[in-house]
Amino acid sequence: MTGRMESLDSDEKARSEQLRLLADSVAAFAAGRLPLARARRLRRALPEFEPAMMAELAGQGWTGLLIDEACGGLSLGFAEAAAVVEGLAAQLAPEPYVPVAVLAVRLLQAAAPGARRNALLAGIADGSLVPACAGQETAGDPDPERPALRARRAAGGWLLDGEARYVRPGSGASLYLLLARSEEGWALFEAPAAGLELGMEPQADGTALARLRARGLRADEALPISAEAIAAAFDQALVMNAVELLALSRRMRALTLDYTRTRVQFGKPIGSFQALQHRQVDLLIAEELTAAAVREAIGALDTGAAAARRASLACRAKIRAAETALHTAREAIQMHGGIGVTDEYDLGLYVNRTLALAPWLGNARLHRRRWLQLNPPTLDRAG
Amino acid sequence: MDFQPDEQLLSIEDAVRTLCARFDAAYWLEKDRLGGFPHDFHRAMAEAGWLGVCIPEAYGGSGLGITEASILMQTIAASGAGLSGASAIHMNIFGLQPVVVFGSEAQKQRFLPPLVRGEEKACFGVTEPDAGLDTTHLKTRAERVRGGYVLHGRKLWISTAQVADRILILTRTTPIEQCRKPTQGMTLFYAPLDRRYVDVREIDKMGRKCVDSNELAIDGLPVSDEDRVGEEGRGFEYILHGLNPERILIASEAVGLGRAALRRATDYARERVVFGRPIGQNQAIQHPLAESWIELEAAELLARRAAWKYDRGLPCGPDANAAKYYAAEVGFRACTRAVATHGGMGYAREYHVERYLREMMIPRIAPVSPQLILCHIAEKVLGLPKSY
Repeated sequence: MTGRMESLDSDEKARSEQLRLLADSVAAFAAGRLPLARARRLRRALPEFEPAMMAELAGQGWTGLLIDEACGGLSLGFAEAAAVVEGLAAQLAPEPYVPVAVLAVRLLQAAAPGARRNALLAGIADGSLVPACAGQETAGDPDPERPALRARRAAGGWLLDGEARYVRPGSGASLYLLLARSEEGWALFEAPAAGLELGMEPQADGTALARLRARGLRADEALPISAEAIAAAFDQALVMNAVELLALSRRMRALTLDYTRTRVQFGKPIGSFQALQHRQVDLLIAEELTAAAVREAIGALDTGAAAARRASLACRAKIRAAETALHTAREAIQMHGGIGVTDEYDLGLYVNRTLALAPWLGNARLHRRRWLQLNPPTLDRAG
Repeated sequence: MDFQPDEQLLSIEDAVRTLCARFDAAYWLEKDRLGGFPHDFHRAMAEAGWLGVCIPEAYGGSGLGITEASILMQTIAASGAGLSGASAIHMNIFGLQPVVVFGSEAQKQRFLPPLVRGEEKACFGVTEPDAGLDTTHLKTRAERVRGGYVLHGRKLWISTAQVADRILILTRTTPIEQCRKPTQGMTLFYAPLDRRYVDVREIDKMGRKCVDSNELAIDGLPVSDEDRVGEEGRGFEYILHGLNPERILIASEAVGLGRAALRRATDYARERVVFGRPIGQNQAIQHPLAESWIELEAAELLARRAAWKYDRGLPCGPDANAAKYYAAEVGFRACTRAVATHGGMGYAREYHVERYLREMMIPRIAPVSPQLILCHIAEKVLGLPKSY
């Protein structure tokens, strides 16, 4: 027994050491290759990210973190993915890491193994493919009862109809993975970017969400996937989305702390005033609560928690992360004063990214409702 | 719009403040500890003529308006007498307005002068165990007998019934099922509180110990025709006449008590030294107190506007309700902050603010809940559908 405990302990130690090294290398990479000036320059660019940078991230092994070694990935977990997500989000990299390396990867992994599926995963791992997943009609999970896209069999393949929204990246995807439902159930269908009816919905941060319309769109092959696997993949992306929001909160608070330490009024730094100190303490507390919720959700993903628990924890992480980030954004601007709303100052970049990411995959209110459905009030847990 | 200080109002405030200074914090602390109606305070108010502030001069009063009365009540509460002092005379200030407006000349001659002189005390009997805000469903009934009526029923939360000589009591004379509208069939009396027929049981409560609150069990109380106010069956509309002024007065009392709490909190914040400087130098202490000052000023203006409208005979329902709602909320906030500013001492009786906090629950709850005021504003001002 003691021996087993020790070996578990040393496994834990080895993993946390590995995580630390990964976080260090992400930070070093971000400092050298992802300056804020780059994020500023890429606002409203077309495409909204640099395919060459996606290739660089692949070169580091990061787009394949979650992909099996057989498909060219590293077979690592969500704790490792979170380290990359956090590093990229903190420097406002517009590269669609969560939509591609998390959401698309997890959906493909859940599809039945086959040559095409494996090739797609290998393409993401080596950076040659940047697929965008489309399947949502409303915010949040795809509704199994009301699929945004429907598929039917046709001679030699499939025909797809419907409209999907909130597709990330909004521009620059090399192909689309359409999540559609047929009489036989859910499946992923591949569609090349060329020839699709795409609309762009610009976001506050200079990226966009795509709106995709399919009218008798032809697809050759269906990759069947279960409803539970779809739900799991969206929860996993949701938790990573919470990691991004947490990273944004931390940066906005850090900028504010620096500013209040250096900005002098009435002969002293404004950070010496309690009214500002206490507000920043409130932000730190909200941030720590969010970090705890996010940490627990990541742990649940890595240990394969049951569906209901996984979903509840993912909801909770997103609710806290979205509310904390939006609140921090407001407070950060207030504490900066006028300079907080100038384009020249970096805070606005973070605020705008927060506005774009907080509602993605469903805002806090939607997930609070979902949490309540997952955890209906009972007598022994009233209120 | 004129915000010029009114000389008469200033002189009322000044005179009342001087009078209240005779009843200091130690006096009210003792009353809060031991109970017992503040007869000496009541007598002093009567002798100075304040009890008749709103009663017409023909019946021994001063014939002034609700504006003057609200300055009186606010100043009493602000002196530190709080709701203990205010409630001791509150009913006498405006409670008999239905008699002033709807009573006969003989009734006014008989009822009003003893009240103004402080020889008689009145209490107000509307609410019942099963009819709080839903007044038309009260169950106390008055049965017709030769020459008058006999009353049966129960009343709850009747202030000063331990010491009152008479009760302005609302009863049902026609069963609600036989009335075209639920507001009809109710009759108002100014009845002698004859303890042979009325069992008055005091309710032990959170604060305002010296001004009793009671449950009344009325068993065959005889009332003569001469003590019926106005016509039989129209009591509800007579009572309505006093509701807005009562809300304006209670709003003013809440503002006054909030100011008393704020004054103690600021005094303490100036004097108490921690980490080598007065705690009032901390923004975390001074900003909430500054906020309370602003809120109390705004609440006072709401109450003044409502009183101004009432005194000019203008409709003032939303104004009076808004004043009572807001004054109670911000007054409560001021009391909470006063306790917090004192730290541990705020919990000690000798610093008085905990008593203010307990008393401040009264304007929050009575005479109408904040929720029902919001319903009223939503419905009558904003035109939203009735929700209850």
